[in-house]
Amino acid sequence: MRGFGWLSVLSSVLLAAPPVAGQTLFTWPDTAVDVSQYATVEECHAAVERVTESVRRNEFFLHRVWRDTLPYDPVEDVKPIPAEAQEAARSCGARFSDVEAQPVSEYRMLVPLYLAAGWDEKARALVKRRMDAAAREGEAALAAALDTVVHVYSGRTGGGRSSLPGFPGLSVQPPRFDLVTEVVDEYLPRVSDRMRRVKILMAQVQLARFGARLLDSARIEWAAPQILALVDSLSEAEKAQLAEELTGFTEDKDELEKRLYRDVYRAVESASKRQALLDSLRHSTAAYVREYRRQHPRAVDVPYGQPAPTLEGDVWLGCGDRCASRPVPGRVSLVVFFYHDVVRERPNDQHQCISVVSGASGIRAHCPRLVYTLRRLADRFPELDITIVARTHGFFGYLKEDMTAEKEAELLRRWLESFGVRAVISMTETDYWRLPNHDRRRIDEPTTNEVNYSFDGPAGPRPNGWSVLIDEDGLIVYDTVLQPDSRSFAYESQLIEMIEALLERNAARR
Amino acid sequence: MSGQSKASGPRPVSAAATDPRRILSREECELIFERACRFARGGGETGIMVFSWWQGELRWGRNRVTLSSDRRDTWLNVQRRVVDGRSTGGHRVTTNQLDDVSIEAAVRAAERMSLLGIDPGWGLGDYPALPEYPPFHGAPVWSDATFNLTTEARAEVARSIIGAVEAEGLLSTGYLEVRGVAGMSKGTEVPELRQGELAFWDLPFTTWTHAQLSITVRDSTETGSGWAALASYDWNRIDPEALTERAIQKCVASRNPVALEPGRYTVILEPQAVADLVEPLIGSLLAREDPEGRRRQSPWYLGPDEHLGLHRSKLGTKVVDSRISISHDPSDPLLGIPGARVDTYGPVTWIDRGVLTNLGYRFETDVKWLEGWHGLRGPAVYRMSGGDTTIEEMIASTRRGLLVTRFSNVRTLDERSLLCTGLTRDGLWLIEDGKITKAVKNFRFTESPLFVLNSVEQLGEPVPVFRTPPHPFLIGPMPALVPALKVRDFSFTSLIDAV
Repeated sequence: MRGFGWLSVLSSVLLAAPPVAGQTLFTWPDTAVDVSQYATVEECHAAVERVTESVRRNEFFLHRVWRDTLPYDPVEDVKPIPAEAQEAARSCGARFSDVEAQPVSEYRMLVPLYLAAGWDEKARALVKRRMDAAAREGEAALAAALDTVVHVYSGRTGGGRSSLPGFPGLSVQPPRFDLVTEVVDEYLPRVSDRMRRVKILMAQVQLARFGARLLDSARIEWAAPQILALVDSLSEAEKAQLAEELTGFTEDKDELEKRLYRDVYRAVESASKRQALLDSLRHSTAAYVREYRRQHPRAVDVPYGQPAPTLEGDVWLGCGDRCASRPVPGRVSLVVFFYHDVVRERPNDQHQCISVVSGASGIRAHCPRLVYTLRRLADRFPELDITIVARTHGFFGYLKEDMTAEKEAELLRRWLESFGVRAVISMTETDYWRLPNHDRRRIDEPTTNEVNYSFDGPAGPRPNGWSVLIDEDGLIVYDTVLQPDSRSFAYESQLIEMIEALLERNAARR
Repeated sequence: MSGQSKASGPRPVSAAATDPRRILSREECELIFERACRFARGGGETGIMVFSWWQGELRWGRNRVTLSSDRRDTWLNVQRRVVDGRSTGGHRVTTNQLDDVSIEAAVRAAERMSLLGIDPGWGLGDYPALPEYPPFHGAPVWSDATFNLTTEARAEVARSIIGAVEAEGLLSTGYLEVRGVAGMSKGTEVPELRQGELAFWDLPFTTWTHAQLSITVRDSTETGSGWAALASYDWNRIDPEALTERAIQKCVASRNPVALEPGRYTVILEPQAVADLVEPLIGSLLAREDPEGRRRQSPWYLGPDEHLGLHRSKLGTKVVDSRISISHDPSDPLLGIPGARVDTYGPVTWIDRGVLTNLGYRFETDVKWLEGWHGLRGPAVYRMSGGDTTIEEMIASTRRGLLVTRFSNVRTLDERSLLCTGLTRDGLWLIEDGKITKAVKNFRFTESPLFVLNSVEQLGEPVPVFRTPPHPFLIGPMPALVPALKVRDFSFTSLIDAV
């Protein structure tokens, strides 16, 4: 019994102590992440991506600006990764920093990590080891390695928005134009496979017109003639194969040409001919149309240079008693086809646009991306005459009962003005019929304006926000869907350039 | 929030069952809303959705009560939006505590989430005044008999059922549930646009009850099984004695089943079997937006209309036997309707004499595409038309076939054809030369309700069946009236050993 005396003492102590003393005090665990402990390159890639995303999200919440209200800024595409992400890459990549000790087979994952860490020299050294090894394996291996390296340096591997599918990991940001040039200059001459050469050169062209803004016109002017000459030298079978590789399986024999047009001709046009177009427009619309036809001989269905049809409307708002003749002669005009039943522009956008409002969230969740662009134009060019071409749909928002064309026009005017857009509105009564029997859906007929402005195309609703730029003589100069610049195309910027050219010309005439 | 009492030993009277305030009143819901608004800080909008429910239940197995409880709870969802000019989305926080501290904490939490959002931008748009819908009249789905079925009364029901089953030397399992629900949703959004107290998307204060009783009877050798059940908003419409007698009869008659070869059989489907089988079809009638929104898997998708640039549904085409209609009349005393304010109130027929005449649709669809500005409900509550043939007459006119009590575990295999699979349960019998000759072991079936409703030979009178809402408080009762059917060439694909 004596041997267990300590147990009774301990029991009495435990029983006498307050209950909380017997509990473990909760403390938050140390959840700080030490990325230097990460063991694999893949983990480092993931860490850098997480830090980048976290910094971007915090910046977003800090500034709290709705991106819809801002024009697209292509500089964002070539911005370096945040300092915090670079630090994470350096910390995590430290264990891989001895280039000579790394297996060359890992270059595909190591090069993006080195570049994220700002160790461009290490990346170059590893790439050189890889290219030299590939050269020893043979020309096919060299061409394949060069293709991969160009894509890695261009930021087109990894999980970026412009990345090619099937390349996991980190995207290189910003793209390393100089490194691409360096590696292409050194190794492309050793590749005799013409198809390979075409593809590598096209990757360079794509990089040179990165972000819808021309960054390297000299590079395009250097690459484009080589591409075209190489394509001309291909046999029909090789062309078909190249088309299939570039576009996926297709029976369309013109697909290669279309693709080249998109990737090369347009880039060439961007590099050298865009300015010629604008210069010609500043001179006269006739000169502009001639230049446009010269540059785009295949564009037969473009109405540029044609007189703009006079707009019709059952209800006019914002033009007083001078509504009969629009577009207004003597003024630069923008005609915008706007459908308030189809406000949705980007179905997967988190700020979804909705045509029928079924709750309070619908009112808040409207996505007036198109309207913001319109407002920017209206604010920037007060002398631009803007006409909104609308048609009746029989409802507005959630209101349907007792709807008339006048009421719909007035509600649309108020809605647009609440976003700061003041423009003339032409509202046309839509003829419609209903599908028979139990379907009963409303089928709208095209309006006169839609028919007149369809030119040689099908007469039906135009894309929402489709806009036609008209000069002071009433001739059509340009058409586009009103939207902010995107990564792939400078919609708003190009329209602004055209408007500026026309207004300059108009002012000079006066 | 629960107050369970064991069935064995002296039974305390449940506080919940005797408390008349088991669910919140309209005034209490309004008060919660006012309190939430009072706690709001930083401007913006406030909304609540509140449901309070009481549920009394009693469960037994092998003739012994295993659970008797009275539970009640509240589900309060607080929403704060555009606090301090931030956030476009609504931020919701849920609690079931209604004291000031808890409601204020929920409001604060919703505000914190709202503050993480982004600026709404340049504007929100200018909208016309909200349409004012007619006042929402409470549906006839409230029964005092259901709400007042006390713990003791439920125990008495179980006692009488168990007594009757024991007297036959059998075992029973069962579940009895009574429920009362009150709910309301209300917000302060867009006050400048409101014409009345409530916007059309708000839910005015509404209440409903639900009662259900299911009984399974087995024999001691575990070869016979009988089942009977019924659900209704009104306990008075459920006859425990009749259900007990039916379950006992089925159990006794289904003893010592023989195995038959799977294959195609003429079947007589009792109303419950029909209801179980057509449930996937009923669900597919809910949304017209599916087939017309390119959802090609919908059974009602016809194809694209390239000329008009839209997708066509099978509306207007004959889809099942011309003796079949599926409809709902809110004035039907056996059905009633718990609806929303923007719903069409009147009767709806989805399948009219075999022709697909309607599919449920949303408010948005009506506004944009159709003539009105209301939603159309789907057949959550429905009546399937029938005939006047009794099950006995169906049996008498059958040379060789099977009588099916019900199906369980019905799963859809192919949405387009509605091909389903499931099991027969609790009584399957062989019919030979107009008579039931023997009990049969259960089958797995692989069949489509669409094929079945196109192979109908005879129809019985529609009767209420057992159908329960899938959510304790968000969805009201789902009564259905379904006939028995005699159907040819029903496909059974394998034998099942389970009783």
